[in-house]
Amino acid sequence: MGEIKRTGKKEKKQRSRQERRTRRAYKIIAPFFAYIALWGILPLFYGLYLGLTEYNGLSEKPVFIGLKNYMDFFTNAAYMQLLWRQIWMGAICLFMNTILSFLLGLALNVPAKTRGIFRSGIYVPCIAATSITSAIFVVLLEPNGVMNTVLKRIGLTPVTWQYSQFWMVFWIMIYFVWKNIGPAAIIWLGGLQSIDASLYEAARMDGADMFQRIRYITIPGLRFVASYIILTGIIGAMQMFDVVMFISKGNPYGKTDILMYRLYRDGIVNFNMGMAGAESTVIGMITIVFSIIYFRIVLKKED
Amino acid sequence: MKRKLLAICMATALSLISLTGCGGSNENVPDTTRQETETSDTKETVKEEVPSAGKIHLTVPKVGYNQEQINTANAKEGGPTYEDKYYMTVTENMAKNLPDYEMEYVDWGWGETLDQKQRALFASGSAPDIVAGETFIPSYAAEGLLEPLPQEIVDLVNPSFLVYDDDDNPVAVAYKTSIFMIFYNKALLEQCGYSEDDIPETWDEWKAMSDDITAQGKGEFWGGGIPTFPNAGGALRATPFFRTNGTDFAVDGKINLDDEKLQEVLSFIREMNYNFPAGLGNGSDEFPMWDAFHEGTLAFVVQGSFEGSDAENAGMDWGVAPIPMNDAGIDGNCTVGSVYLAVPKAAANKEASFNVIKETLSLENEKVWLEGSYCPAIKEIIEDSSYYENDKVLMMEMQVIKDGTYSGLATFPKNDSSIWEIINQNVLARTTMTEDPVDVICSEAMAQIVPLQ
Repeated sequence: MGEIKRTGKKEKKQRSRQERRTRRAYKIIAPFFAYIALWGILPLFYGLYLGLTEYNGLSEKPVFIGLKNYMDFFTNAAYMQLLWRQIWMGAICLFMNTILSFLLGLALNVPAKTRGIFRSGIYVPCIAATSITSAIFVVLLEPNGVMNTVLKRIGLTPVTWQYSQFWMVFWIMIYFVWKNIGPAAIIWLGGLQSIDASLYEAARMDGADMFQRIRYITIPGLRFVASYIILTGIIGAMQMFDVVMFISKGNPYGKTDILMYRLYRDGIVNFNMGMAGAESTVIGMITIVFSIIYFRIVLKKED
Repeated sequence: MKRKLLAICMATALSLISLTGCGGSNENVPDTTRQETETSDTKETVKEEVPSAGKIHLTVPKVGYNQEQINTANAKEGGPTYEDKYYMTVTENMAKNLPDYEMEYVDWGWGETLDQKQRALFASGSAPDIVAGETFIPSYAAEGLLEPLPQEIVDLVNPSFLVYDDDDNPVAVAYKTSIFMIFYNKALLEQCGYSEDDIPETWDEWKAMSDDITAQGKGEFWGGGIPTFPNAGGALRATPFFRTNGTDFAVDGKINLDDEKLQEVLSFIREMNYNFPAGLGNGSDEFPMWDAFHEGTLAFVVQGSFEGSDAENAGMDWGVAPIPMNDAGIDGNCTVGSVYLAVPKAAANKEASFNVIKETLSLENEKVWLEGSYCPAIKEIIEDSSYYENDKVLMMEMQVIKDGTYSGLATFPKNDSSIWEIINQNVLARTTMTEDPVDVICSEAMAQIVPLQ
């Protein structure tokens, strides 16, 4: 009886110690929760609320108008066009970035003395400020800029890049890939180096060629790295706007305008806060849906 | 206990980091006395703005210069510009004439940046003592946010420098403005066989001359046309041409793109655009065009009167003429470069704020703008030509001001900026970048604009 009592007391003591530890842990992380709530969750809910209002930043209070902003969004062909352009331009950028960064990761994995220099070199564009590097891009593309000077020197006809949707999308994509390829390549490289080298050795002994080794060892071994790169890539592509703002400003005549850039202008430039709230909700939901679809596909493959 | 202490320390540190993270940039640093005070609760030493005893503290954009701006202006190669001189003169005179006011001269930028800052202050319930701006000030007036100006100020200025609210009360006043003209490169015209007697007065004359110069240039120099920069005031520079053709983008606050006269101007703008190298008159950046004019590869540009000063500084041989008109054209123009000041109804020190506005309009301050060929607002200068009789640009400009044949850019009561964005991008830029029929361009843009009105 006395033994049971002692054990009970001991358990109680352990439990209360455990509870104290838990409480202490919560106290430590509470400020971080408060921080996230203050700067992440509250603005999120305020954005959702603004989407249901009409507010220009001048009138005293936002006026509740229900789902009118959403109705306007889905019935206005211009908004749907911007959404579609955001998706296809984002998809091209994501596709190119993923493929090229993978190839670059493979190249960087080849043992060479200069590997360190290249590894640092491809990361530099990511560190440089978008506003500055994009300004250089814009200067290159001016009617009498470097690109046209080069074309003239080699006997080709200069191109008015700013008049062409094709060329502006092309340059936006080039800039996006140039800017983002470094971090993705380094992550691919990290994944490549975590694959057990003995697997390649065994495959080689079994007579597998380079493509077979990539197909059957490298790609399956990089599944989780790929998931990370593609998932963050989807989010990045759906958030893409600074590249467009700095390089084309939506030109020529709105042909490279995308929903995120419009969202910025509706909210911060034109002070149509209600519509900006609705647009951000729509684009947020679409990003979540794309991410879930991608997750489902990955998980299904794993099953 | 140690862990508890650690948790408290972390919480305090995090709170401090997040609070200091909200702090503004140093561009808002005022000229006011800074005092270091110690708060008793945290024993942390923080800097606080403490107004000097007995003085009225006023926060004002686009009125004067703080010390940092004065230092920057003085450090400029060639010394302070006429714009710097105006703000520095006002700053000096404020200190001399209004010693009871403690002025906080803030640099909140211009255009969109300034609008954003001021709207944020309105939304947060802490309106500044004075608001400044150009194209967006009519929106503030229409929202009923601005206090009517005292009669004393209204009487000082030419009536066209005022902005009115919906009840027809004057609520904002510009201390300077400018109107559009065509500037030309004399040397380039002479090279092409033209003298100043040939300067065009009609659209046909201008087009013929500009086409000829472009043809003679063979890709080395061009005649020039009407710039339509979609992201840098394209509509602003095109507006005088619409007005001289008896039309405008808006009539009674409603979009007017289906007007044939307006479409006629758009066709003229398209034809004149062939006298720019492709992409120069309608790019996302306007500076390459000004550079081309100053470097002598562009014969004509449309710009506000301040271009006279810029051309002079560029060392070029230049001339100026009124905007050419269509055959049956009428007088019309558009202001550019106006800086309006107004006092919000929610301002804490309205009387003091109006006194500050009145001081910006003093003769001594306003005279400085003449140096930059800007038109000051006060009648005392406008009505006395001895102040500007030696300045050909100002003589022309003042006549237009006296005739009253100009006004600011049209405004739309609702979604003003969004509608102008469509006009700039989908009407003006598309007109000059494509061969799409003008009526199609206009009807498609109308379809986008009408739901926004």
